[in-house]
Amino acid sequence: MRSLVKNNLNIIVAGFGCCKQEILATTGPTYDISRFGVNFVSVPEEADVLVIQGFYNEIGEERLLEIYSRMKKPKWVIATGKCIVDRCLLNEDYNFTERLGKIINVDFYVPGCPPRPEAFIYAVLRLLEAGQ
Amino acid sequence: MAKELYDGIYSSHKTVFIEKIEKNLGFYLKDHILEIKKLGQELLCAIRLSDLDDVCQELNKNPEFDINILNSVSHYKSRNKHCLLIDLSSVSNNFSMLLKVVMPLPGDAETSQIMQLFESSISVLKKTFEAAEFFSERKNLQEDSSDIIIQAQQIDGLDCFDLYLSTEEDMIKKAFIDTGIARVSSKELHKNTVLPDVLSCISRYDHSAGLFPELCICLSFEELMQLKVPRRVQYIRMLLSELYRVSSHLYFVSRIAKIIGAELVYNLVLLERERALRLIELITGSRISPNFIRIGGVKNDLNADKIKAARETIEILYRKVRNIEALLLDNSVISAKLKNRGSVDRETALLCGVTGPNLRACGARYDIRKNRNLLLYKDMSFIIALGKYGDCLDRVLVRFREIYQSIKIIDQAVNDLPEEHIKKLINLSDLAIPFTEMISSVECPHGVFKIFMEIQDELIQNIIVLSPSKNSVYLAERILPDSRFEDVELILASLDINSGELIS
Repeated sequence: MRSLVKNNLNIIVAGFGCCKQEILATTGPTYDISRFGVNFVSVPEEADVLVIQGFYNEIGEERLLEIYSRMKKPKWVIATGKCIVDRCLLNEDYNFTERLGKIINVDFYVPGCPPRPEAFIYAVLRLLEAGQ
Repeated sequence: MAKELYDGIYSSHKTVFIEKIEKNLGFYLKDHILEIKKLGQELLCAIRLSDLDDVCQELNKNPEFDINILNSVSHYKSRNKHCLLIDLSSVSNNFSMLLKVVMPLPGDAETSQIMQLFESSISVLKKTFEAAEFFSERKNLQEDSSDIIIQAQQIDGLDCFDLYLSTEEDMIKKAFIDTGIARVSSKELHKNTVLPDVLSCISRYDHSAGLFPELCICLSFEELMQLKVPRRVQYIRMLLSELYRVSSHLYFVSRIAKIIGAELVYNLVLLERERALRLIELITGSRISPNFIRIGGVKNDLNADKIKAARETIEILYRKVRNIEALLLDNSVISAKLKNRGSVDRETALLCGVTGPNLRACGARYDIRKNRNLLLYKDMSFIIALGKYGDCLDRVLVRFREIYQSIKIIDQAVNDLPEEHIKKLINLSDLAIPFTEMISSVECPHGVFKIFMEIQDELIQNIIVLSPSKNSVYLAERILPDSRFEDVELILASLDINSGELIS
């Protein structure tokens, strides 16, 4: 199972925000994240890794929890960007760790506003290493 | 020093025209208007709620104004008063104005009272401007009456709204877009914050071209202080604006290519976007959120290496984008997929208040880079790219043409960059401004991006972002009916809806 995941890691990106631009830039030929066997999917059941980024309100949180619960085990979570790691830039009252930190277990934090595509790839590679 | 700072506002042929409009407003609506202010190249009129209908009728029917577009309606609280901010513009007369409607409510009024009065104002506005219904609480297509519900997707740009569709076989009969998931910013956002804090995070309102919100804020302060900005600074700003426009349009093309299945074009476009982003990073130090524009200047000057890099990059960019266009649009299969999909006529686009490339694709010549005295675009030689049929193919073509025009502007900016010593003009800690309102607008890659601000001393009291993507969402609702279900994703992507602009 582990080796299967290692050679074919499916990632689902939740939310919207500036980080998504940088995450999706990794699919281009410059960074080409697919050479590590990483794919981006849109069905939670197929995904191994959930990437949490960007801005959330109550509706967004519900969607995020639904995606997380629909993902099959083993599953990992990467949190990217300042809005998730620290406080939301556009809503200072919103703190992801305080609100959902106990329900969703985050494995890797990628700091930056937004983090560079290399930083995201580095987190995925660390995840693959940890999976071994 | 004072003379250098305040030696006049930018010379503008538009200033005279705006003053004429201001006089006409005072003449025709003197009984209704509480106050008229000329804020830079925009007008702000304060009126009572009871006069709203008369004022709208006059503005719409009088050929001196001929205001036919309602861009947005927002509610805000200013100095213990509830107000409505209505953004109106006239394409035939090439000007825009804001109506500030003072609501007869106490400062501590309950939300239900405010909503009731807001809805009644919208119903008054609806008599003159059909687009007003989009800004009201709509319940026309709920979950139970729609056949298909498409929740916010993973694709960038389609991730900030839920789509409710009512269909017959594969034809869409009704469409409703709910942007509730995107409204994340709090009401009190930026209240009592200092300007540097706002400047550092305002670029998040436009994910794909973060420079424009910063530019908008700085331009409004420069207009307020009548600060004469050095020509070199203006040229650097134009260079960066156009670079961001190129990058944003390339990202748009990449999304279209992905949806229609042109994998090769998708990869090539992302490669070129990366080239543009690297040049932006070399100049500003950041790719997405630059934080580069300052009041009266920019963060860093351009040195010889950066100018050389810009020259080399745009040469390659032009060649490569030409190839990409040929690869994408000379392919008859791909052209057929884009042609006659999501067609919009000029009147519908104007009615929805759409601006930017989406409007120009329908044949309307409206670009505030040309129509107003924005930066130093009057020194540049470029044309406004126009479409004819307003379908997906035209929207893609217009963006390709805009990329070429932007490269042309960058080329001119780099070659004619004035040799000038840039010195620090203003110290932000010295700012002590009495209560004042400010408006400024820029032509961002998605349309006219406008910011309304209230400031007192050095603290910002209110910021209202009047973004073009909200109108694109309304346009999407209008054109999705009578389209085929398989084209939904393509039509929505072709309107270039930016999720960042929907958050307020």
